[in-house]
Amino acid sequence: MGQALVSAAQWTSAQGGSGGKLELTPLNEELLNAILRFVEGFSQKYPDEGKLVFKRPLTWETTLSANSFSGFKEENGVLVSEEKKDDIPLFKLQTQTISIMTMELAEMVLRTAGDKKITELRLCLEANRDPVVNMLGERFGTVQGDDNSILRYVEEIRKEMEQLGKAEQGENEKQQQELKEKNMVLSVRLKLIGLDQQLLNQSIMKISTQVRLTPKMVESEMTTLKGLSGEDGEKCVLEHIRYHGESFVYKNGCRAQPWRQLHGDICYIEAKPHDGSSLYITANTSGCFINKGPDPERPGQLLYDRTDQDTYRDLVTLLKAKSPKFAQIISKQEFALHEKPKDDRHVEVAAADEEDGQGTARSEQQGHSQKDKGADDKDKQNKQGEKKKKLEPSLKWQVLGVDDESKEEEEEKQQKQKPRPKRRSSSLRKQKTPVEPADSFSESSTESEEEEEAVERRAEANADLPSEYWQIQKLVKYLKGGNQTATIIALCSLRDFNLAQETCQLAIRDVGGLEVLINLLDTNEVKCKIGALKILKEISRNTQIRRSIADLGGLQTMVKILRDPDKDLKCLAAETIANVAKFRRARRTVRQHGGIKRLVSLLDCVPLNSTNMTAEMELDVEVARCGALALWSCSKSKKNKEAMQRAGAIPLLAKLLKSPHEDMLIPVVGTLQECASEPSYRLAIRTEGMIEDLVGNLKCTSPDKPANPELQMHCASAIFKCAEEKETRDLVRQYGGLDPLVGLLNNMENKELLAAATGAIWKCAISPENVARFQELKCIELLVALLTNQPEEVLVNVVGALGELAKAQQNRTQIRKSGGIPHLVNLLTGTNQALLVNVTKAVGQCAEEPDNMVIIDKLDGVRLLWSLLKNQNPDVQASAAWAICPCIENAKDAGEMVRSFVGGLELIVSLLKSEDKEVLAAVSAAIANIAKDEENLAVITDHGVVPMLARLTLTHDDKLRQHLAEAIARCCNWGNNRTAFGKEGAVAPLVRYLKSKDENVHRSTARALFQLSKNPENCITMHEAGVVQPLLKMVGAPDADLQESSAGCIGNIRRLALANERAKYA
Amino acid sequence: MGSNRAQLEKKVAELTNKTKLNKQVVQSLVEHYQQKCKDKGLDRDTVRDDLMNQFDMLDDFLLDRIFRTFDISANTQHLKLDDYVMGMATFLTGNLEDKMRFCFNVYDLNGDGYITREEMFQFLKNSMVTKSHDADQDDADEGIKELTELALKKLDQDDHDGRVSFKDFQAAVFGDKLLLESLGQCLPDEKARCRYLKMLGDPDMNHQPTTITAKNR
Repeated sequence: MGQALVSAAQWTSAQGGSGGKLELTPLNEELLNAILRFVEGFSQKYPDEGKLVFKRPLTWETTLSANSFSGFKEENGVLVSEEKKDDIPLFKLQTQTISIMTMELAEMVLRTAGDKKITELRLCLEANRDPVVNMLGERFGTVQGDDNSILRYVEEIRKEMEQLGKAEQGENEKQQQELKEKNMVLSVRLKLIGLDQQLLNQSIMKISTQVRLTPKMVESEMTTLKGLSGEDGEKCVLEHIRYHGESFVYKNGCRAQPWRQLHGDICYIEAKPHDGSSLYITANTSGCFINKGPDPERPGQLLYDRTDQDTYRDLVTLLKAKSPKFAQIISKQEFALHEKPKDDRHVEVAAADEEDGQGTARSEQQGHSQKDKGADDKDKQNKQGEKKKKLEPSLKWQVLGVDDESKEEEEEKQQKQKPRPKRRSSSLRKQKTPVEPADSFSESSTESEEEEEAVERRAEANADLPSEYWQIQKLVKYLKGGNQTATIIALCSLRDFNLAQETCQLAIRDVGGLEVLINLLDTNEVKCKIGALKILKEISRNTQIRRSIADLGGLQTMVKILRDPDKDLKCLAAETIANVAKFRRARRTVRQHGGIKRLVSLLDCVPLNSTNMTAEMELDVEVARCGALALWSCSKSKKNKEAMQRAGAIPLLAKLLKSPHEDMLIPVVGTLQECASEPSYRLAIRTEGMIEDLVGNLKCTSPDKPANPELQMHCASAIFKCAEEKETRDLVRQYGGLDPLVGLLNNMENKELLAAATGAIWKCAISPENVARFQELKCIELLVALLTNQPEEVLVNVVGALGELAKAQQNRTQIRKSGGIPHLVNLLTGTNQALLVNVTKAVGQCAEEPDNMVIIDKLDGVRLLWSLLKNQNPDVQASAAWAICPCIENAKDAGEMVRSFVGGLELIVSLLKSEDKEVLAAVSAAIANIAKDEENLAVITDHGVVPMLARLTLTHDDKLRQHLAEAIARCCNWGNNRTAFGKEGAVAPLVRYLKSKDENVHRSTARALFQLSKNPENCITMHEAGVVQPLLKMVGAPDADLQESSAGCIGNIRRLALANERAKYA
Repeated sequence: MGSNRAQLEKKVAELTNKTKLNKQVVQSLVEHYQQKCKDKGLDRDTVRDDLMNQFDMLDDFLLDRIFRTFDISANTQHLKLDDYVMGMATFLTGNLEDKMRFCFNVYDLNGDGYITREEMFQFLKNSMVTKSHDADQDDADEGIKELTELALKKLDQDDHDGRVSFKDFQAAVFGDKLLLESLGQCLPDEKARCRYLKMLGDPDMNHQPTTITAKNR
């Protein structure tokens, strides 16, 4: 271990010698732990070697007290051991100085030290810089370079052995003893070398990851130091410390300008210690050094040259060297610093758990991460893993496609889910946000966006800069320093690069080109503006560029340009806005600066279909198209939709929808499709007669030209959203929209189109008239074919459509015949919540048919449904419970089947505690069905179904009332359940149900009352609650079932009264 | 005097025919010419001042070039009436073809039908704002040279022979409108153009804002 201790361990005073200390670094910690492991268990593994007496004792100042040791005798306050070698005791403890002579004792001391053993070991090693010398003698001292001591020693032993062979038997006993001892020494030495090797390997692995500074290390150090800085000269290590220069973080984590990164610079730091003036520090991959500070001639620029030759390992060491005050305070803090991370990390994970729900948790976590210094990567990854898992369920809203805001959030969340090895940088971005005035929005969501912003900077391991980078940099220089002519040449030349390529896009940003381009938009030079916008339009396809444009205030300027008389300019600005407004903050900015109004006014153009268009008119149409494009992007925000409606977008969109050009139609329909999530738009789309156009665009317009799938997709999703309303569904049918929708099902490749078309079919199938048409079109077969090998977005809609269609008896048979049932049952094992809701519905509908039920039963579908009751999502629970009802009704030997589900009955009864009305209604209905079987009724009674049902009777929800009353009616048939319902106070509320307007409620309530009235107590309660009057009315109802139960109930009450009277007079 | 007026009217009619300008505009231009005219024709400084004041064009070198391009009859110091009106017509309402020709002629310093590297350098040499006084002149020149190369690369579209013929220029401008005035502004900007035409009394100005870029999207 000598080599490892000398070369690998990090000593506080680098020049060695005694008095140095082992720094508390992770590396040293690992070394110590390895040595510890070696020492512990040494004597067990090698008992002989453990007893080998050291040449010189290992002596150090211990923290242990004498009374923690036992088995030693005390002489004059000195604790010594019995065994001695050359009169030196093998163990000695005098006041605080301990010395030991064998490995066994070393092990004992460490054992005694208990949880302080690391400290003991450290103290021991600090006092004995080369323990091997003490243990085995000077000859094994650690030397730099080749170490031949072992070889020489082996040689020596060999020679002695030879001698031994030659010598006479008698006198060599002593020699033999010596030889044995030497062998022992050799063996210990070899073992120590083994340890040494292991330690070195370990530290090399560790060191190789740390030897050069990385942006991450600098950042973590910065965050720590920031946390420790402040005005207080006593506690705070520095007055302040901050990054110098641009606040921009490149995606490799560096802050230095790219050309400086070539020199290895990571970032520049300005630190103000309490003693002395500000230090300007360059963090370079080779270490930290002081640079010459800000350039007096060029404000904001640094003189990068170093002032002296000293390069320090890290920031803290540099600051320690430069500021005595810092050194003094930090040494006090150091221990606290290193011990903290553990707890902090814990809190951080906890904070992250709460994080996705609430924005507040995030800031909390942010605080923690600032303090946190050494949180290692593994931990972070775990945390990300957790987060990913948590976010999954929300996928469903995207596919339901109704709530757009959540879709948007979804989009953002998905962005978050992207790999994010650079969490560090995210916390840094957040820290600097308060500095940027551009971000000072009042709305709460900015922070989360800031987060996602940073996240997007995917790590790119290689910082190699492509050749384009330098060329672009040169061009940007002309943009910056040239007059109008030079600017135009540079702008034109910039467009020669492949601006669709990310390297070019980011290069423009990284050399500061975005700022210049955006500044150009503020000038009066039309040509410069056009040139700049043409570039911005291209590069804004990149998400990071979009955000940078928004950060730099580009949107405000572009919104201003929308009013420019130059139409080309308007077009370009609108197109660029369309690209940039793909995220929420940008959309809000557009709205807040009056962009929506102006964009809507762009839509107002000449009649589209006039035969002879002049160039001028065509340009107008182009302006409208660009406007629609921008609105399409903007319409993903709810408030923007409202603003668009206020600005009168709907009639203009309706006009543009008549356009024959696909380029125009796609953004227009896209916008409508986005907006259709709002009921007001749905109404407007219907009343403005847009359904006809939507349907028209769905069809193949001309036989020779195939319809554009993207356009069809948007039309279908618009119909999908609008068909929530009955009138719209009818219109779709009247305009012949169902046929093309079904036709689109043959398009197996385009999944988006498929998802939209099946969605539209799903919603349209809600109307029975449409179902008839779908039947004629053999829609079922096509849909069943889509049940396999499709992405979930498609499956959700396909299954939803099948569920709707299966409401018709014919279709249920058809689904069976086309072999759809096994697929549907198979889908019950999925995890997508939206899909599960639809699948359970569809399976439930299919189960209405006894023939289908046979198949479902065979496939164990009911068990699958039952297990879905355990799902977290109430929608899934409810829909599974509903589906169970027809299954029980139609299954052969349903009672036995239900009993076979272990714990199933208990589970379903426990769902009566749910908060969700729909779940309660569904579960009540299921219980009503279960209770048909007497044995099962007995079981659920044992599980306490009666009081639970009774507790629910106070509800005002008619759907729940109906099924609840039904369940109560059924449950009366066991034991003294009738009395129990009475005792639980279920009777009086039931009587009130008769006042409900819903006939179904009346029917089931009457049945329940009839059952309950078989108990005299209940009759009295009912009578007191005034049951007779309404029941009398219901006797005259047209419904036979209702009549019968009402009459039965009245009969029971009457019989009780008669019996009473008879008893009185008997 | 009477014959003078008749002559003038005849001239106006003739020029109106030639230039497709509005008669009123031609009338105004002719009047303007006569007002400012010295004995031999319109003097270079007058034209220059005129352009400078009316169109905010400030580069002397370019103004001089514009004057020379107007001066088709090559009188060198003075413009003839025909040249002036014809020049202004292109300047104000020329179509893309006219404008390309006009700009090309402005840029073609020696009139040999090619814009060479050296000619470009002449136009571009002042296009970089020198940042600090002590900046190396060679360095700045180097920058301009590179810019010249860029411009040449953009403009030499047709035959790539290291000089720009009119055909090259045409191809480049068709490719990207912005290259029309790539070596310096020699046409009025939209606002100034409208203002000037209005001042000349063009009745169409209120409802026909044709832009350079409008036709080519």
